[in-house]
Amino acid sequence: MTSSTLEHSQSQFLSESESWSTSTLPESARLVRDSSAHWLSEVVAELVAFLSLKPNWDSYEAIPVRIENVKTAIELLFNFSAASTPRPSVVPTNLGGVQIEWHQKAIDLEIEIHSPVAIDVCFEDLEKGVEREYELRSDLHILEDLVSKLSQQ
Amino acid sequence: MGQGLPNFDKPPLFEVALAVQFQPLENFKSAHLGLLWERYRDEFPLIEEHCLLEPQFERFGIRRTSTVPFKLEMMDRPPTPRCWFVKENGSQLIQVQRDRFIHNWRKRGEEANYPRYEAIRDLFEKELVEFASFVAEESLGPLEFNQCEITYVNEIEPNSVWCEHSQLNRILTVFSDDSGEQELPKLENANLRVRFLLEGDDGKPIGRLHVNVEPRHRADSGKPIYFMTLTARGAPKTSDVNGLMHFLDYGRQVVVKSFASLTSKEMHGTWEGPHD
Repeated sequence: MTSSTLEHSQSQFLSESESWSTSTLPESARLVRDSSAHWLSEVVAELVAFLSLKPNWDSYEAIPVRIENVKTAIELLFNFSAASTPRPSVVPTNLGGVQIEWHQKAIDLEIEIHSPVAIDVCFEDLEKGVEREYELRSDLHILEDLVSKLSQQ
Repeated sequence: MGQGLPNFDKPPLFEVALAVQFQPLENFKSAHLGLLWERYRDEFPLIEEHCLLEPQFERFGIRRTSTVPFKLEMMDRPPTPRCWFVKENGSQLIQVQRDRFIHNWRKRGEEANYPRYEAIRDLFEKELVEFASFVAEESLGPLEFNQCEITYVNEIEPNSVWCEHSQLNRILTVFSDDSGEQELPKLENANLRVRFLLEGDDGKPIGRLHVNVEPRHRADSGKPIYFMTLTARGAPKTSDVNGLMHFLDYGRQVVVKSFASLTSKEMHGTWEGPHD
């Protein structure tokens, strides 16, 4: 959140930093380097399409999906999905949020993004009889563990 | 409030910013910036427009956020700009955009005195309360604070302790030019970015301290300087003004103590401190 005005003082101070790079690793490769799931670009396109939903898109006074929630969903998918992670479904919610969900064999995992700092998670493992709910704010450590369980199935 | 914190008579402060980020106000339009300016105009008679700041969130348990270089923008309407309302002498300003409210103090002129945190904090709180009242009166939506930050920018000038960028080890306690038995080429300069975790009483992360050290030259004299920027950022415990101010007070303590800890005793002497 660069709240400093320093970037606007460039004429007073000459920077030493250089952005020139001889690395042959393209930006896109850095982004998807080790583990991206094959479905990622399709799901990202679905999420971005939510942004064109108009007010009342569900006929029940739903509000448009907020851009920051779509962005958060994309960040989470990039961070927590591996090549072996099954494809999730994504759905808009009527309060401007986004839900990412997996219903795989015995595991149900739902991640509802109300805002970038209000994320509800519901996890259920029917085989082991485990059911958990989490209200996450900024600490998202648990997500990596939950999403990895999907890959192990 | 400042008790027990290291205090310098001549701190190298160049800028201080207190900032809060909130849920974007969907109904906030360019015209509202003009209406809002009326409330501050007597004290901040100058106005500037700038590009929007991207939202920033401190999250934990995410490994790759900083490597996702995508930008998502709605193009169905022109973006409402970020406005600066600036004091006549340029030393203080308010920055406003649809999800951000910031107060900056900037050093203007060699003789300018730092008014101290308490004075800037009081101004920020007063101006923010005014902003909240404007948002309520114009029915622009709930003001839900989700991140806040405090930033200190220090301009470290060459003096009897150091005179060229290669001598960063004389400025910082965490930087060494000792390469042991191996030989390194001569250091020219260094650009450092360090992140520290801020933890709550329960040991869980609540924010981060970002420290950037950047070499520059003065455009007029060519003199080398280092800019050292310390930013404490995180989510307030509660999304109201009290929660926000509580985090800023805590962040200020972290920034001030860390600055003293990261810089050398020799440099402290030139800034005439620290006194408790």
